[in-house]
Amino acid sequence: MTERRNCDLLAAYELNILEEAERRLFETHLPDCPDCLEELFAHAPVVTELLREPGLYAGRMTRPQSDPSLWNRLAAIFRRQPARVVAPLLVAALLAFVVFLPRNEASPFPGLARTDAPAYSVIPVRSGATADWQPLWQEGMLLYVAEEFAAAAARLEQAVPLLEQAVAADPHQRRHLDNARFYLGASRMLTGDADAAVPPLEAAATSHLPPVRQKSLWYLAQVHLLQDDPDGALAVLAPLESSPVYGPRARDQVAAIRSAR
Amino acid sequence: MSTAEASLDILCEKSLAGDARAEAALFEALRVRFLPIAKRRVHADQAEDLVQDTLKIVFDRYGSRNEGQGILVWGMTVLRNVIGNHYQSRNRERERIDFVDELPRDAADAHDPFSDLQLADTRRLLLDGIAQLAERFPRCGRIFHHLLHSLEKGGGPQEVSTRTLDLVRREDPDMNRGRFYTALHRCRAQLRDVLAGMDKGLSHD
Repeated sequence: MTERRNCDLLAAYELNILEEAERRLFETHLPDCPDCLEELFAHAPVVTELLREPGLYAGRMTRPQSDPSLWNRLAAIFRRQPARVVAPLLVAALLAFVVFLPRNEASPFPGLARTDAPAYSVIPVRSGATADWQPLWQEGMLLYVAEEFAAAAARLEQAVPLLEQAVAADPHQRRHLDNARFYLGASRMLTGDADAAVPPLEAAATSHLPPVRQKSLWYLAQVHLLQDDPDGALAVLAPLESSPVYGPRARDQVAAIRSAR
Repeated sequence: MSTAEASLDILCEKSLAGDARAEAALFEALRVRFLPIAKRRVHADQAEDLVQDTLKIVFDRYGSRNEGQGILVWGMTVLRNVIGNHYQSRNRERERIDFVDELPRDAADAHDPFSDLQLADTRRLLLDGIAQLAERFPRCGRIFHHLLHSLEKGGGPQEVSTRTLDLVRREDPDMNRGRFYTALHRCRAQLRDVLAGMDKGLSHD
């Protein structure tokens, strides 16, 4: 194997996926290759961090809309056996026409929902505090930022009961609880589970903090629309119409709902 | 298998099991690989001392490292810390006695985006970096995605690499092990470029 080929083993070596013989080969090459040694040295913190929590970073790599794996596989099958691709697609199209189109025509309300992910910014701070809910909250929000909404919801579901206990002991923790409930509801909405999104959003909408309360109401209205419940959405949007932040979009949405009726 | 024929991780396993010959061989093998790196960063007479300090820490703690990580790469992180501490104490000394020493001419002076970062910052930078990688180089994003998922599932090196290769082959049936390693190596280089190009400032609004 040439030097060039030996160097090509570097990434697999540092991620520790080489078989024993390959690993030995690369390690024998190392003392004579200052470039590879320097690369290993320079990249060591990245590798250490990747191996610390590979699942977290795997989620960050996912871009489902740009993942062509299914398309490639279908294309490969199509080239060999076109009927195996065309027939299921025809059936799926027929089902979509029969099942979904009539419902969309009958109910325009889910289409009015604005389900963009509410923003969250990670602010790294050094804190000596180590409340039991904090690691779950931080992990959950890192997953949320990484658009791993199902995994984020799973972490936040665990954090909320711990936060409820914390609030019982210290009411000043309430803002953390409201935030966790809000992002739990948002995460569930974003995974398509509108029904499960309602309870945490309703709870967050009772927050004493206007920003949390108002954004919870806004997303609660969107969830009601997804549930095909325009009355529920209108009831939630009503107090938002006077909000300086949500007022214009709430009034627009109320008008759209009434118009759709 | 003799100690001369074993990889560093096999030597490490044997050392942990109490094999003194394996431990001596591992010590020497790591020293040979650490020394050139240290010599590029500090004076030659200090390099040996720093490598000795590093090896002391490595041998003291290698039993408690993350099992998924190879001994050499893990040892490199220790060496980085030891050299970093050396620089810091030297800087403090400079401030105290107002004396400027010269680093060797060939000391690596390229900016290292991870040199001053704490764990939370490293994680944040890496999360952003790999997201950018997946966006700019989707094939690399998918390869890393499969590999990291496979690492998360666990298992030995062969199990992890075979599982990953199976997933990659679903999208690229012509992929073999050699090509996979090469592709991974290129994607790693892309990730390095992305990280190097990112703004070092880690402010988040």
